[in-house]
Formats: sequence, structure tokens, C-alpha cells
Amino acid sequence: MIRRWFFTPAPARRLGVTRVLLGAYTFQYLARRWRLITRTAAGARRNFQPVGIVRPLRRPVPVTAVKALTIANYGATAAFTVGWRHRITGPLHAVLTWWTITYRNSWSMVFHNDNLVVLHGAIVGVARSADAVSLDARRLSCPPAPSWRYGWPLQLANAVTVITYALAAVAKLRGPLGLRWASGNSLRDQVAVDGIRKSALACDGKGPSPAVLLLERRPQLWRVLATGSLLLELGAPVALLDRRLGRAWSVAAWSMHVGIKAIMRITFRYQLSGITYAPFFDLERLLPPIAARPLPAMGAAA
Amino acid sequence: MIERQRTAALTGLAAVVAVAFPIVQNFRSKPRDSFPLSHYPMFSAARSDVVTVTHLVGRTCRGSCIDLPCQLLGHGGVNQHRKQIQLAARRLHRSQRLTDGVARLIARRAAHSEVTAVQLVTRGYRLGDWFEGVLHPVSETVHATSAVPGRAPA
Repeated sequence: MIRRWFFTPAPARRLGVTRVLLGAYTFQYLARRWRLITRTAAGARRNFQPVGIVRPLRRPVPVTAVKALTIANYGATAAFTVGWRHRITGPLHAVLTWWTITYRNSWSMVFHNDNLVVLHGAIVGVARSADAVSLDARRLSCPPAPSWRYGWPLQLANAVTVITYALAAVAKLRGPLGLRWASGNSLRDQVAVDGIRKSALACDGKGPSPAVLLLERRPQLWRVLATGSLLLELGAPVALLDRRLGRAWSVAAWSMHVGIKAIMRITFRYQLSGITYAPFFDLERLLPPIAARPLPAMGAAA
Repeated sequence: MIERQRTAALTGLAAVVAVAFPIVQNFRSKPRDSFPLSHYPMFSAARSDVVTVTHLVGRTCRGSCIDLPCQLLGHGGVNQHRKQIQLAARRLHRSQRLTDGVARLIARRAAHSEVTAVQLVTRGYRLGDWFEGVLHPVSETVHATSAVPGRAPA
């Protein structure tokens, strides 16, 4: 049953559009952070706290090396986006993006909103995601038929997405509050802590957002939001059972991040872009139609 | 490039196990976060009625005190600066080095002209006050003080 689910055939164009969206997002995300990436890397050594694949390093790498690798990453990500020589640039994009973002996160603070960009990039990077909607595809005489080769990366990306949400729920339930987290008090306290930190540290002069003031007028809404987000996270794996269910869950998860943005002013960029949930959708429908082919039988070589 | 079903299946299995594995951190006495494989501990901590924040303040020539933006520490977001400041506050020489640097910077930029000294402080704030739009500290610990070069103290 799991095998059948994992190798569900999908059109090459669905995976191709996912690659383009993911690549374009990653490229603009990294390009806009050139100064941040390079200047952070030039920071004081005492602030270097390596995580993930960077952990074996005892000291920061020279800034020139960081710049060279970041530029190489830009090139690989651009090639990955347009699907040029994907056999090389796909895995290269995956490795370099993993390195760049992990290295950036090795300076004092781990940003959890970047995790899925890296993981999705790795999955799509090593899959045959440039057999359509790519420069490489120009060499093909006819569009490839739907195949498990284009299905498994999408299924795996979705599985990875829902696992991260479920983990966030487990962390809350295993935390000091346990099920009491759903009461809403913890969420309210967290919003205040975050607001106080930003006011004191950034001196942004911003008090509670209009959304917070609304919640304060109806305190029972804190409980509704906390319970809802906990259920959404804990129940995330259900999204894998059915594509329609997956799409409904995606909309709910995206809405949760919109709420986080409105209430806490925390921006989960990748999630808010919607690209996190793209593999749940039939993205090939965004493209002009081509001659349709029948789906092959399960297990047939495509 | 993955071409065979067996390779794809093994890759998928390895990825799912790797992403799910950090769940064990929830059962450890000292959980350790990582990237991009994380147990996502954000928002799970219990909070007391008073939160302590370590940040920069400026003492003015009139004897009052104003908050200084953490952007004075250089590039990076608020959370990154927060971690940086927390680390500095743990050791006196680091705190002093940090306030010395900020004091020199604002003197060089001729910024915050009323500020005569920079301090690194840990202050306690009541959570309930923030919802009222008030941010008065209920406690304060000073870690380091540096006079701004060329400016007369209060």
C-alpha cells in the first residue's frame, strides 16, 4: 500500500513546475540575502555556533570561500530553475543550498522557516524534475508519459512537509505544558514575549498588532487558535491519505501562517509563498495543455 | 539522478527517517536543535508572568534612559542579535567589549546625540503590560557600561 502510494504516477510537467517555483523562490531568497550571508560570515568568531553539516567545522571558513560558494549556489540554483543540465545542476543546487543556508544558520540563531526550502530542494534536485518545463526538455522528441519517476519526489516532499508539522505538535505536547498548550494561555504568552523582545531589542515602536487587540477583546479566541493549530499540526499526516485532503490541509496550514504573520509579525516566507504546499496540487494545469497520455499501469516501466 | 524504483524507495525511506528522527530530542534532558533536521521546539516553552530580555540602552545627559536598537550590532535579524547579546551577557569581558563597540559606533556616526553612555542590561517585563501598550521594566541588571567618546556624562 505504501509502495503504491509512494510510486503514484504523476505527469513530468507537475514536477517540472514544482522545480521552477522552488528554484525561483530559492534564487530570489538567496540573492536578496547576499549582504546578510557574506557579512554574517565575517562576524566575530565567538558567534559561530555550527549546526548540521557545518558542525564538524571548528572555526568559520574564510569569507572569500563563503562568497565563492554563494555565487556558485546562485549559478546552480538559476540552472536548476530553468532546468539546464539538471543531472549536474540539480544535485549541485541541493548541496550548495543546504550548505549556504546551514552556514548562515550557524551564526547564533537557527531559523526554522528555512528547513523545508533545503529539504524540498534536495528531493527535487536529485529527482528527474527537468524532463519537462525545462531547457533540457527541448532535446526530447515528445513529452514524457506520466510515471512513478515524477510521482515519488512529490510524494516525498509532501511527506517531509507533514512530518515537520507533526514534529512541531509533538514538541508542544512533550514540552512543560503538555495538553495545556491547547488552552491558548501559552500562545497568548508567547505572543507577548515575542512582542516584548522586538520592542526592547529592535525599538520598532510597534505595540500589539490589530489582530492581537481583537483577540484580547475575545479571549476565548486564543483557545480556538491554539487548539486549531495544534490539531492542524498533529493531524498533518492525514493530508497524505488523499490529494483532496492534502489540498484542504495545505490551505489550512497556509492560513495558519497568515495568522502567525498577523498576530506575531513572524514571517514564514516559504510557507506564506504557498510553494511549500505546491506538490499537493496539480500544477501542470497552470500550463497550456498538451496531448494527454493515459496513465500507465502500476509498476509498469515508463 | 535517481532512475530506479529501489533507489527511490531507499532514498524516500532514509529521508523520512532522517526528518522524523529529531523527535527523540523531546525525550532528552538537554535537547539539541539542528538544521535542517529539527524537532521544532519554537513556541513550546512555558512562560512566566515576567519575561527577561537582555538588550542595549542608552543613558542620556539628562539622566533618563532610552532603548537602543540592536541593529547597532551590525547585520542580522532581531533573533540573531538576541542570541548574540545573550552570549555576551554571560561574561563580563564580552559584555564590556560589546558596549564599548556600540559606544564607539554611535560616537563615530554622531547618532543618538543625547546618549552619553551605553549599557547592556537584562530587564524583566510583565507580559500583561504589553497587551496594554505599556513596557516598563520591573527589574534590571546592568552587565556593562561604556561612555560614549566625546560626550559629557550625566
